[in-house]
Amino acid sequence: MFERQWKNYKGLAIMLIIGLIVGVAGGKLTFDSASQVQTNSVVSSNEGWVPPGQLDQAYMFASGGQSGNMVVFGIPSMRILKTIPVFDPFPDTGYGFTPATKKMLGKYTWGDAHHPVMSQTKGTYDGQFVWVNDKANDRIGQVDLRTFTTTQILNVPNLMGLHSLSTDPESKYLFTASEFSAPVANGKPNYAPLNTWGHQYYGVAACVNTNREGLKAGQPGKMGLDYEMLLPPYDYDLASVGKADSAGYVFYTSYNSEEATTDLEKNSTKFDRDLTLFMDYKAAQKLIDAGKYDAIINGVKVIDPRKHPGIAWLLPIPKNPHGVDVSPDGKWICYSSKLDPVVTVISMDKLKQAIAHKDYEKTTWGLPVIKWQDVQEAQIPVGVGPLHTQFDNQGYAYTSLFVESAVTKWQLGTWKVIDKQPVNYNVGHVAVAGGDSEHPFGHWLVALDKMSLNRFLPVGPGYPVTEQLFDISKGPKMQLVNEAPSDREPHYATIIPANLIHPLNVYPKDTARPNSTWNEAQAKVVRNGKEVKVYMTAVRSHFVPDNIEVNQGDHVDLYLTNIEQQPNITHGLAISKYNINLAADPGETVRASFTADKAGTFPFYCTDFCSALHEEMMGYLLVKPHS
Amino acid sequence: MNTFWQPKRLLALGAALAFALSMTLKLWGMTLTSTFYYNGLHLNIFATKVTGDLHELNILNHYIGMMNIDNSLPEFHWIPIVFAAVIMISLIPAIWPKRGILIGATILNLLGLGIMGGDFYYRLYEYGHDFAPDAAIQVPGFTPKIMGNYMLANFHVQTGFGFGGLTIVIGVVLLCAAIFSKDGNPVKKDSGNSIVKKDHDRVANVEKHEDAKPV
Repeated sequence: MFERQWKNYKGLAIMLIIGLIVGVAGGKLTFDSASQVQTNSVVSSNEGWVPPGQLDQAYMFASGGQSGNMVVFGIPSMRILKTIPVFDPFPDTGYGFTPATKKMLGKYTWGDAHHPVMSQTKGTYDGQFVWVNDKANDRIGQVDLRTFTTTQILNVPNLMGLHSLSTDPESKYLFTASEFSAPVANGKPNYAPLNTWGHQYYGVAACVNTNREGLKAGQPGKMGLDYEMLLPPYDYDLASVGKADSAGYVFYTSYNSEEATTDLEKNSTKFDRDLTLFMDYKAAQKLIDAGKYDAIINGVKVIDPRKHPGIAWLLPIPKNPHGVDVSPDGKWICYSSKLDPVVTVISMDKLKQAIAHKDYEKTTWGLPVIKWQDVQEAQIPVGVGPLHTQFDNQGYAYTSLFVESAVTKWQLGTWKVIDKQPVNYNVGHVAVAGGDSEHPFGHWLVALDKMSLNRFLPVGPGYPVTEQLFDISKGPKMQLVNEAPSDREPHYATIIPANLIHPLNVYPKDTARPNSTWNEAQAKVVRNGKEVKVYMTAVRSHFVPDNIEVNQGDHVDLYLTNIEQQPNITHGLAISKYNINLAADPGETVRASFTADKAGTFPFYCTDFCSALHEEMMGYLLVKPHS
Repeated sequence: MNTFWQPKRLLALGAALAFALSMTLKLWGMTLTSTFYYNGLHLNIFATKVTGDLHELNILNHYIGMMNIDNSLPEFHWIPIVFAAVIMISLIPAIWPKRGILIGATILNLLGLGIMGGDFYYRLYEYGHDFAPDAAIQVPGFTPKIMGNYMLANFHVQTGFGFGGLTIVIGVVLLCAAIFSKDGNPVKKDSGNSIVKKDHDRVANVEKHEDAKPV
């Protein structure tokens, strides 16, 4: 009986045993490969190691996101070299404590810096300026790379959620647009009920003139708004200015062709393709030059492209596109769609033909819609959640995959996927040295990851983000060589070889500078009624004058000149309980302006450890009470 | 060549030129190197000026109460005059190449140069001793070495003469050479020398030929 039963079940039992063995082994195998992806660590490379005393090969300027600043990294060490405050006060450098920097910051105490843009000459990074947007308060900051300081903040009216920023190959212009459509109103609050979306809400694109020629080191910038353009009420995400074959065009991505005003997560993801916009900015400039703009709104010349055919077109791109990036030769416009695992490549040649033949699919919002089938060149299956693409000098493209936590390398022209490497974790932008210009430098790629789960020592429930450095110069495979945490959160970064940056090491002595004092014998306090002007010098290890007496209620303008010419000798000036914090680099004149409304005795002192007798570098501000 | 360009004249003229060069070249210099000042802080003394990292040196020196080093020193007014005199005095024997005049010129020049050197040493002493009494750091007096390498607090100090110092020495040597050079026609002397040289060459050639013979 038992024998018969065994015969019946023998095959099943053997199969079960084999199944168990195969299952365990297979499971082990899968588990191992999974853990390999998670640990993604450098085993043998020491390329990211820059020994003490040695300098890095390249600079990376990363936006600070909600930190509102720009962070300078050294590549390949990933050491943080400096924080350049742009949209936030920054006590380190006295930024936001002087009248000039207070005026630049205006009424805001923060900004949301996303996209740093390196200035270019003839399509190559020239290392002169970096511009960066403020998505929160719709501003553009200019950083002078001779002083590594912010020299201008431009308010851009009429648009909300200034997100994208891109420049032309000569950096004459910056282009941006509104991520959030909103009503546009002249000289009054831009209120309109959400159900007027189709009539009163607009997307807005802006063209900013950089006016950067002839600016001296550290001189206030002269950026100005050339014009703005009304757009359909979609959410404009990124921009990429054309170059070479596509010069003269700006390409934007946008989501929410559905025109949803609530629950966008569901309502703006219904269409298979969103209508993205591109414009011919040379044609727009001609209109402006000829005075043929349609309105002046809040002081800005505005074009309505519906009234001027041949300026703006709509182009259907798969599901909720995010990044748009023009290849170095300008031939290919590469769109990354958050909800479609492909990069969609549009041919500039075909686009020009479509425009020339005026062979459009339809008209939406008064703008012609290109037949996408006519212009689409390829779709590259890069992986899940593609966001942004950068290019190297060898004809390869690199696309970040947010959802998949990976970077995919693919080839322009053949459209083949070459390599894919995991990142830790959830990469937003990737940055290749010169990777958005006509002449990329290649070699280094940084993945700007949003999450850093367990990559660094735990620091409480709030995590830093990760910047991961890849060497892309060694064959087909990208090699992870270094990584570093940073404050939240760099969105995009621009990488430039170190030899293209020429910073000052001191501010040169300039006796003609207004309100500067270079000789201790000429330092003085000048009283004119209730206006008190202090012309003060700082040098190791004393201030002149160091005893200042004013009357309660006096208005004090203090001009501090650091008369040092030795690099690295910065002096600070803090006045106790007066919220005064200045920092003057060698040869710099800075100003504090305040009303001495509190009577009493207030020590002031040098905040920058300048010398052995740094603590002795102090003085007294005596504020004599009303009698 | 004629008899006008005799050695005395040429040597005296050479001395005048050497002294003229000294007026434009660095006479003496000092370099202070430390960990922070890894490229060194430089002090260069010329006949007419002092150059280098004066601003920084003065900032550092004020801690010990040293006087400011700058171009307001009276030396930069009178030393060029002495130098001009030395050059003129060297030109006199170039015009009248008599031994007596040469000796006189040399003695006068050595006197002038001596005064300058003495003053220079006095200034070195003064800068190293005459400190402001209220200075933050009290240090014992010192006189920097004229030539040498040594440590001064955290600084490695290197001092020495510049090319201007060398051309002064050359000027003096040329003047002395002029005193001891013989009168007469230099062309004759030269041709005599060259005959001897030719003879010597001929002998050498003969020897060479003999060497070349197969044994």
